[in-house]
Amino acid sequence: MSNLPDAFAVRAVDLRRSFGSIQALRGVSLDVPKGSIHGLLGPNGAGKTTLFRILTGQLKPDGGRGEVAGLDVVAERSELRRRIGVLFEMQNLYPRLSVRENLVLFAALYGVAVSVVDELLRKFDLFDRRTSKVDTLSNGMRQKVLIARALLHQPEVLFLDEPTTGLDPNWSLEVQELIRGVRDADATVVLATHQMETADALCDTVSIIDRGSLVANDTPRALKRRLGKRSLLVETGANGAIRGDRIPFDDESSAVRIAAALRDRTLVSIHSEEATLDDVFRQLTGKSLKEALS
Amino acid sequence: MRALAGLLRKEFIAFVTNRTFIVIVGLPVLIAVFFGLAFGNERPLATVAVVRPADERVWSRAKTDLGSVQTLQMSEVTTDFSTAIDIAERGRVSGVLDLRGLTLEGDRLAGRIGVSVDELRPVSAEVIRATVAAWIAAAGPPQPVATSLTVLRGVSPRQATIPLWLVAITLIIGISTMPLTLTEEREHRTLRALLVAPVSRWSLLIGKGGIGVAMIVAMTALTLVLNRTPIASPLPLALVILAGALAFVPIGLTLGALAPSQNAASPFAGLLLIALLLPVTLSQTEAPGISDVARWLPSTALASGVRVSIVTAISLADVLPQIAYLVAVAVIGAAAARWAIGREAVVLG
Repeated sequence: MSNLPDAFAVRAVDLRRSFGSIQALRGVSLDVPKGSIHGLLGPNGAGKTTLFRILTGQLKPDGGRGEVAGLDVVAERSELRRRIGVLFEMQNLYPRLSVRENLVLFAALYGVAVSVVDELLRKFDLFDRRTSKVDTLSNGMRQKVLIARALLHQPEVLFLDEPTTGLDPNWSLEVQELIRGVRDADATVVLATHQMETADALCDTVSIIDRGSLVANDTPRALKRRLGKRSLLVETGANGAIRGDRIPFDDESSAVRIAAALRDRTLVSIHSEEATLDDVFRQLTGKSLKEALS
Repeated sequence: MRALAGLLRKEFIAFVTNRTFIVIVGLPVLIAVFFGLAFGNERPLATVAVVRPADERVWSRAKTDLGSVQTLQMSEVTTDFSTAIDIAERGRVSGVLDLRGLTLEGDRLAGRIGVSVDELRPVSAEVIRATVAAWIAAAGPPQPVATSLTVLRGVSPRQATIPLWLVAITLIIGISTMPLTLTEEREHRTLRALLVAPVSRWSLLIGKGGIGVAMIVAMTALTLVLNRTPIASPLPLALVILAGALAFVPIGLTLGALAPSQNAASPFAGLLLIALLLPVTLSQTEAPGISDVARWLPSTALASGVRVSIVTAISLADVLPQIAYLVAVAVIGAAAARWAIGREAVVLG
């Protein structure tokens, strides 16, 4: 029986998992509100894929408890499979089957009418390519097919592992739009990614995982406000020479400096710069995500 | 010199940590286990059906004499000559010894022995003739026993050969092809997508295995039709083939589920195929005998069931032991395949 409050689609309580001597998850607790997009952020090896696999019933935790859509991820795994959709990091479609054949196969597994396949193909602008073999599609198009496959049975919670990785910017934006559409249809989306920009643009809430521990969990805006440092890009000019300086937004000395430039009539332009999730990540872990990835 | 030593060390580690090392080490072991056991150390025996004399004393003496001969095996004993010939014509023995013409003169056998040999088994025919001649010669002069030789025709080459092909088809599809269906899924990562879908592992196995069984049945039917093979017992043959398919397809699926890739599965599949097929090829010939252990290989059970169904008019009960054995192998194989597929995603137990 679920203890999950109605407001949450996903709840993890003190989840732990080791692989041999490596502790992949060190007691992660997490709540994801219903109808939201939640991002699991962190570099490769941080533990987000392990958490992802536990929450999707693919992996048994060593300790703790996980509930998704009101179902225990261990005890009610069979029912869980019907209620969630999963998009894997690898584009795991049957390459020698057509787009439609791929979807029809999974429609059969989920007990979904074939007419739903055609509806989704139209909705995702894939209908004209329905007879194309999957291995002739571009990366972005394959990703759309995968998302369509994950949505065939109208899951309550959709898990996406690196949904925009490897896509060019246009496809990435299109996929992001599709994900927002899922959220707008009242489903909950949990996405694991190491792309901070995507998470920032897409997610209502994010968790940052580092070395198996959850180090932050909030809205991107709140995290940036709390942990990021805003700055000002100030351009001043005298005698035809223009100089640009990035100065702290929340520092009293900055106000004095700007006031002086205004008084001296040397201020050319002033722009505020928001903190990024990467700044937050650096603040929390001591390194940028790019450094962590490398 | 240090650089060379370092390179050698690196190559050694790369070699022994590669999975092919297991194959290379396993090859002689498997050869020793399967191939070694396939060949018995005993001398080859020619099997005969014996038509016994009515006189108990004559039969007792003949049985003692023939029983001490190392080259003949009295597989069947009957009092009816036509029954013995029928047994030989079905290919169950290589010849018939008709001892009804024998009598006892003092303590010596006298009279006539009728020898019938299968013209399709020249090796056994020669062994039977030579053995009888040696037996008579050993009695010393005067030789009171005469022989008459007749030739019968046992199993046709087509009937003798087709069973081997049918077993080969079952093994090739079951052992060699079925692993690929799983390794390909793994290489394309599609197996993981299936494992998170609401589909049981049994369903996955039945889906894959069902196609394998259907292919085996279809290929068998096609082979029989194309070769215009006379089938003495169609229903027993169909059930034996079905049981064989059910036995070997799960073995192939287990191999596919355990192998990390197609390249890793192929050598094991090939080796297993040879190990299971070789004793069958030996059992189809007469040159070397096969040992009792090899007789218990499921492939040998399949071969014997197929062969007897093709050449002999039998009832279902006659192949029930083979069918039961193959079904038992199928049950164990299916359980192993289910367990092996379960390992794939480190899924819940």
